[in-house]
Amino acid sequence: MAVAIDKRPLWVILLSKSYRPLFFVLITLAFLGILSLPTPAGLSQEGHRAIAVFFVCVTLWVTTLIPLSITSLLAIILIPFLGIMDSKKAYALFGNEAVFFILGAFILAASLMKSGLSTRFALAVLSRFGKTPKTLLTAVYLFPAFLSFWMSEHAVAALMFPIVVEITKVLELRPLRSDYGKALFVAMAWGCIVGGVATFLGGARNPLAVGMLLETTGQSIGFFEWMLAVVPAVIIMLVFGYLMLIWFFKIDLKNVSQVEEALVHRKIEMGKVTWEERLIGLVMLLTILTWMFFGKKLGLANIALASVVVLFVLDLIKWKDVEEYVNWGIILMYGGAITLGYALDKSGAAAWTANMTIMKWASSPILVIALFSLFSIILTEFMSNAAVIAILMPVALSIAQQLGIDPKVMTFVIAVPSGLVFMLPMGTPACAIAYSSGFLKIKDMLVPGLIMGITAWLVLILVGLFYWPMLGLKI
Amino acid sequence: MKNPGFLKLELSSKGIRLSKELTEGKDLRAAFLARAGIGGGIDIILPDDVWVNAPVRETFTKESPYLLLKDNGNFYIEKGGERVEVGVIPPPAFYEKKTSEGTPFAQVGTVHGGYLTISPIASCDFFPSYENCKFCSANSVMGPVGKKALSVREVVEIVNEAFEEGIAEFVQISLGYLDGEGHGIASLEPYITAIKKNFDTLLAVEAHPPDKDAWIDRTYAMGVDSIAYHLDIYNPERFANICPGKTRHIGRDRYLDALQYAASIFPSGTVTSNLIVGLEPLESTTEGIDHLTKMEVVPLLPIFKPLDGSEYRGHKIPDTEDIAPLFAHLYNAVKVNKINMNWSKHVSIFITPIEGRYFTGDQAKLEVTLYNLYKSKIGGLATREIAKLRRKLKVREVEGSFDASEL
Repeated sequence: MAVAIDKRPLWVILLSKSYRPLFFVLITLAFLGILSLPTPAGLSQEGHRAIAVFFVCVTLWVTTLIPLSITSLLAIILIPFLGIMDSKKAYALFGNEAVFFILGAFILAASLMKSGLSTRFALAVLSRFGKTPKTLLTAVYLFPAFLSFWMSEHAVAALMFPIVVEITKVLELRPLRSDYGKALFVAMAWGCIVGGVATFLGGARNPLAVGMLLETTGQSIGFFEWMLAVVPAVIIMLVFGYLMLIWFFKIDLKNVSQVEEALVHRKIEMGKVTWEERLIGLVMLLTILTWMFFGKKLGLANIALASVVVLFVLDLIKWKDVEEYVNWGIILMYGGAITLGYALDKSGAAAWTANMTIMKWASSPILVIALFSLFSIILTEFMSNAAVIAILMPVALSIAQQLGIDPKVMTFVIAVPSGLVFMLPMGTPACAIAYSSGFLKIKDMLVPGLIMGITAWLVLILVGLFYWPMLGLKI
Repeated sequence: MKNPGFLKLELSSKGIRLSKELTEGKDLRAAFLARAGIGGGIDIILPDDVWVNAPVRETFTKESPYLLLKDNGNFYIEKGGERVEVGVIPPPAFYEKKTSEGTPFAQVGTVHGGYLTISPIASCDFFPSYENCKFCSANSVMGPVGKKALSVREVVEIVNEAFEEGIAEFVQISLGYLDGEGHGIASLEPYITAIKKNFDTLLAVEAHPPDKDAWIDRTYAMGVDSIAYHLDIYNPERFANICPGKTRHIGRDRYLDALQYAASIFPSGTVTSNLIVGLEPLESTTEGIDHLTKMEVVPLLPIFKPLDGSEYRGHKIPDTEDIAPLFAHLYNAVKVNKINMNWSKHVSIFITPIEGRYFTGDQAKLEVTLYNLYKSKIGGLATREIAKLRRKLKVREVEGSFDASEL
């Protein structure tokens, strides 16, 4: 491991490091301060305490002073500790169906990655469609989008990255200079991001939001139902995204024939399709179909976990692979967020907060939708999308109940934009991976990302206003 | 005799004779077991707590006007009938023991002042091709080139012995020139790690500059508190003539660049470089002092000694009166450039910058008070803890993986 020496003066380093303990002291003081305030009229004592816990968790999620998952565990400890909910209930919420669905989806994605099936798909699609610079760019954009429908967008970005790097090398594109090189990496990132919001599988934030909806209102959204509501918006965003790509980045080369040769070489390296890959593909396909058509009846998590059992029975994946690919931290984080959301709702804290804040000046449903989706899309640029959901969902669901908006609408309005990070590399791993190529400057992502973000927001509002009512969702 | 600075200078360069009683008695017997060469003499405490390692075995010491004698249980230095009472540090008892692998401790490390100097890899790749520095006696002192390196266990054992005996406080590791990346610094890492893991001490390394600055970062990160890249000769022509190996394999410019870079990494006053007094014109040494101190590097001014076994064994020792002004210049240059002078504690083998005050007439009350504070037990503890804290704050591990981005 290499080392680097911080050459800043010692006092500057000390100051920059001392903010952490200072912050913890301030957070603790603020937490105790909120608890010691008299409980406002209209708010129960439990609600008062739940707001104090919410404050601590929001601060820690936003600042990431400790890992997101540990903040969630803190929430689970504090809730029974302060008498907001008993321990049994708090821990039981951790076993929410959404959490196990996420776990199952992670393991299924791990099997795809481990077997190399996803990479094989990528190579096949790119060599089939990447004949001209435009079609290659389109393939690099649309294939990750499609793949992100079915597996984590982060995993898709990670598997696409070496392939796109190889394409840029074969084409001898110069980092920071080649517009086409920039376009390829931005296309890859945007494809993953937009595709990732289409189903429950692209990002675990979607099932998290649905889990919070279920715990708060008793309503749920099925796999197919989600796709039906969101995919049209995704398609419109993909079209706009492509237009923006070719508008911002010139296609500055005429021939990409060398790419096919390189991709064929990679395919030869991978060898022929193995039985293991075929079986994993089959299990995956059956799982998706069952989710789509029997998801509500059988339960999404049940289907996911049953598929996982099948993978192990057929010896297609080892526990070691699961440990390597599954992000256990995210699972812990989601469990805690669901528990906190439930506590805020049942204690009346969410309703009280909504009344005291957004409800005072946004009484129209359209304005509420526009505002929450805007909050979500802005916050997600700077913080974890799961944290955005954990923060906004409890309040949004409460407002939805008061204004008579279908709570499913609020779930879409928060969960979908929370995945749409286009501007900053730190917003999502897909952007970070693209940025790490060395082809892009921040400004290459900033301006197109800003316009793409505004477009996505407007698309979502329009789809919400005109299309979702057709599906019977009341606004 | 009255000025401890001058006396240290005289004893360092001319050495000292021992009275018959001391030569034949048990008091200093163990001193003769240690390796000869730099630091291989007897440690004497002069008035004002000034420590000097006075050569006793080299041929040139026979001509020394100074005699060390014992009278009524007290030690004295005598010159022309004039006597000064001094203290003598008894040679370490562990010199007479062996490591668990059978190597005599006296061949593994040498104690001088508060320092235990170890050469775990007793080899210098300049010797086989006759490119060694002409004043260096390492080949005869270290034994055959390519000798097996000491095991980490042996090194830990000797540090343990020295610390248990309470005869040393700091560890210095000395490394000859080794071919290859980093010029041998990587091979010191296991020793440094083991010492730092087992002992609460400050550790100095003298080595040759690595070819890449990243190795200097790594040197600091691995636990080295003070680094020395010895230029030895400042004058470019004399440097090329006296140090052909250094010139050919490293280059004078690299020495200066590496020192400058190291000064930006290590704490003030802990990057040092020898400028040997007496092998180049004094003006040239003065120029070297100015150049180094401007880069915040502390020049150390060992006085040339015609060591037995070196090519310059017959070379003339510089006259003390002539070279004394250099030490005054050293003190002033270090002070003007605001370099910390307090790291060197109980240094006996060369005149420290703070001891340069004896040649200026400046009493340097504030500097001496600070220096004494650093020398105290509390000062020592604070210095070690601050060094640890500084390293903890400054060193960052850089991982190449995507995971490191913490997304």
